Amino acid sequence: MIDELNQRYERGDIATRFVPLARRTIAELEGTGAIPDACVDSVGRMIHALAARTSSGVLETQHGGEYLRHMWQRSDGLNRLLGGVLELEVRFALIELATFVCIEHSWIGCPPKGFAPLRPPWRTMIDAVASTGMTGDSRTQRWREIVSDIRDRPVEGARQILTCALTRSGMVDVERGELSDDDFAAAAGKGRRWFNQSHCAGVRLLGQTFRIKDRPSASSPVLGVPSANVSTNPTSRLGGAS
Amino acid sequence: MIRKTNGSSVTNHKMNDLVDATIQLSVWVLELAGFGDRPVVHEARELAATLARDRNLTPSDTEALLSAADLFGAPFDIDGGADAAHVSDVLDDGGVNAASVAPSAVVAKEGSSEADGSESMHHLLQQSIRDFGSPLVMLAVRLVGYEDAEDVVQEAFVRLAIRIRRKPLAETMTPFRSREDLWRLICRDTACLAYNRLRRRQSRADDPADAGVERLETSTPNRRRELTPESKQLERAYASLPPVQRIVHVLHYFYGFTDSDLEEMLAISKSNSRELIGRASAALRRAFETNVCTPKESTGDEQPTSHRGLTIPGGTTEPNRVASHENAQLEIYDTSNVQLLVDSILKNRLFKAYDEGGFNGQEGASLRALEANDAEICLLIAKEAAA
Repeated sequence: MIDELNQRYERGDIATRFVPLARRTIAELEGTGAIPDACVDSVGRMIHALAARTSSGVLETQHGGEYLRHMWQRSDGLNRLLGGVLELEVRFALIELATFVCIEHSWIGCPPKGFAPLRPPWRTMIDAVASTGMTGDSRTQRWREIVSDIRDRPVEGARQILTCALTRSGMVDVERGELSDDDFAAAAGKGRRWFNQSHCAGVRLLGQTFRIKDRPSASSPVLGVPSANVSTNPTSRLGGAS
Repeated sequence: MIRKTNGSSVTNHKMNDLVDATIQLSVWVLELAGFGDRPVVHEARELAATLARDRNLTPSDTEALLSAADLFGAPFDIDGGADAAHVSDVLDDGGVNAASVAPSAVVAKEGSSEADGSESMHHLLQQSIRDFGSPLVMLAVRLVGYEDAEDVVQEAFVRLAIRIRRKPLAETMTPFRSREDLWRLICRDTACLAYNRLRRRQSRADDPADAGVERLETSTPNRRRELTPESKQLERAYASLPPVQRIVHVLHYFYGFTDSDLEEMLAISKSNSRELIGRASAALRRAFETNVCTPKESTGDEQPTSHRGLTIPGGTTEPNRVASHENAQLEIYDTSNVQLLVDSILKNRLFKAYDEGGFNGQEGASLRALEANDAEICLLIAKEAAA
């Protein structure tokens, strides 16, 4: 199936041929019969964005399969780091947001040019994510608000680890395949170990903040009084976690 | 903090507190994980409890923060239900060396779970020395010259060691809300110590104003060879400044501390610090121009316009500050010399002294007395600045 995804797709074929195929592939990887439409929409939007980068507007050979692989691996990584507390479409939304920014700023497919802006003062990546003009669904909007919120807090370390989390979530080289840890570390201007640790911390910070923001508040006329066990019973929010 | 009576505002306020605490906790846990063989989850929970107490979080928010501590700390801690292999799996592209990601887990496997609190403190200090040693030596060199920089840095780390040893970890970490806070704290100690040195030096009647440079030139020929004429001139110009002006100017232009930072660190008002910086800039410009024009300073092989590479700032505007910072960093001191100092002093002398209990004499002084001493120095600085 991956071979089929790796073919060259004309713009008109993306919605009719690529996206249904991607849906089946993700469902197979996920081990379920069906996956939420939001996930497929997310993939569709990014594939269109990838295709729009080329002069002819087509999805080049290898790009589709490589992007789907990136999406799946990052989603799986997020899921493991967060202990399965975020639904598949929520994880996809974060990856979509980060990847879109990398595409938008040409931080994709050309690491040397794209990596330089990610060096300290760390704000470049975060600012780009917080102010991107992408039109995703409500989940990407939520992630954007969270990133923006953390950016504005007076803790410099948080911005550093957030940058690492977003870098790994969004950076993909569809031309030459997966980027190595050393590439990511170079993007941060730090050692591999530091980058990896910061990435882990950043992802957990994002996940935890998402859950906090997702808590029902007393002001909500629908949800009523905050539930004390929202944060202690994460499995109640389990979606398509593997 | 003013709590509004409106229900939604109160909820949002508390939610902000929880988000703030969570952000803080995640940064702390990352710092903890970098310190090697430490029970990360356990200490993260302690930190979470302290944060929750400080911010008066509700029981449910406290519970949420504690669960965040588990989430943040677990992959770094063998006892937290994860091991190095797990972390490697999590980092999804397979190119990660598990041991390099989770040293705590690896060490714990090897049976160092009995590592007690003092060992953790030791690692905290070692990590601080590794992280801040080099820049701190650079700062001390700029504040007091090469001659006294070694001693100033050592004393600053001794102070840190005493702080770390005298308080439980959670309490020790409280002022270190980020690396910048820790850096600011050490800079403050260094600035206070430098101030003492400069005052003592100034009070010695037989000490010429440029003694620091002279001693440097006679005692360290290798360094002298690598200093540019501009660097020497700038060093002389700095040596001619009153101690408080020199300290404030260096902290501001070389390290980017704002007037608010200086107010917090040195207990001088913002307007005072701006005034001091302005005066120091003007004095530096005068001294530098005088030095450049002095015939005996010319070595013959200098380019006529070589001093233009060093911009002595005339005001406190941001572009000036940045330009000066970059130029001065490029020109004034060679980094290989600083590395030499770090290698010889910090890695050998300080670690050795620490390992052999060489700080025993210092441990007699209580933290309270140390802090009182700091306050006294800050007061002196403030008085001098006001004058």
